[in-house]
Amino acid sequence: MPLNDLPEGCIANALSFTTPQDVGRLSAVSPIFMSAAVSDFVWERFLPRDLESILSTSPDGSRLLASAASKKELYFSLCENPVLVDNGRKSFSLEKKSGKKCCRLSARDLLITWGDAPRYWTWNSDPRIQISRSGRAYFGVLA
Amino acid sequence: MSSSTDSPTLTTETTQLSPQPDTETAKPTKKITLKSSDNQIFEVEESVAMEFATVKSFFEDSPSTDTVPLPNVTAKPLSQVIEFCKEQIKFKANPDEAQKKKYNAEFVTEKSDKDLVDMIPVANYLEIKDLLDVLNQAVADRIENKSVEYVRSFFGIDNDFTAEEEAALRREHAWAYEGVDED
Repeated sequence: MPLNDLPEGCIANALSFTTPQDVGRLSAVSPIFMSAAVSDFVWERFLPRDLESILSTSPDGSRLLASAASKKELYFSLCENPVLVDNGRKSFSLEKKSGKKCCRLSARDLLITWGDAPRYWTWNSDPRIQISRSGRAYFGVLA
Repeated sequence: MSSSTDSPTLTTETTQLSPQPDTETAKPTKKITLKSSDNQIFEVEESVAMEFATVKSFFEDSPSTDTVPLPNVTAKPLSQVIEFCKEQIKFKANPDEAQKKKYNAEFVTEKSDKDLVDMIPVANYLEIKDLLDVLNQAVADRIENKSVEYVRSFFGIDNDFTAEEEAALRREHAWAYEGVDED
């Protein structure tokens, strides 16, 4: 076989050294790039190394790990649908362009000085704030 | 079988390891002959040739051969790959991570886009993992944040998609086109 054309494995290998954003865009380069750009080999590299230990602590996470048909599907599911982990106290997702881990913490989980003194702090519910299944208010923190 | 006199320039180039005497072992260095697809002959020390998994298994299968034909590999990328592996052998003898990193970085920095792209299938075929990692990182650094058109010309790839197929892929990944470098 002449090596004028790079085999798909070589393309996938090179793509795995770029970023999720690059891979998404460069799938339009050629058909061989497109198939490299959906490979588990590439997306495995963009998933956090400790993903399994993060997700296996939660029923939703375990379900997702078991049901995702590919690493790419798992990646985008985590970008678009945050998963409740740590007994519902945190919501975990990935930042789409970089694959960085994002964590939303429950406000009740924060240590706030005099947080339990109604004189200084009150816990109001605000319909604009996302309420988790466990009834906690969240705000965003980039991990 | 061709002899090394076929290509005097390349032979001289590949034997230049000798000025630096091998201090770590006193054993005489055995030479192995590699023949590229364009019939160039490369004489390399056995230790260098054994860095190429493909060459190594060739020798394990037929120990009596003196020349290893490399039908998929042309002379230019092969000579660059040999140059890299010779240096890695030195680092194996005298480990110095900082120097090795520096050498690897300089090795790719001075190469043209085409040199890098041409070396990848050679490193892949010869199964030189360290070099593949260095090349892939270098290529990734050069195509990061670049446009689809830029990357096509970087790899010398023709666009085989129909206009509709390409438009659909661009729509599907519209989020990935934000903030891309100018070509």
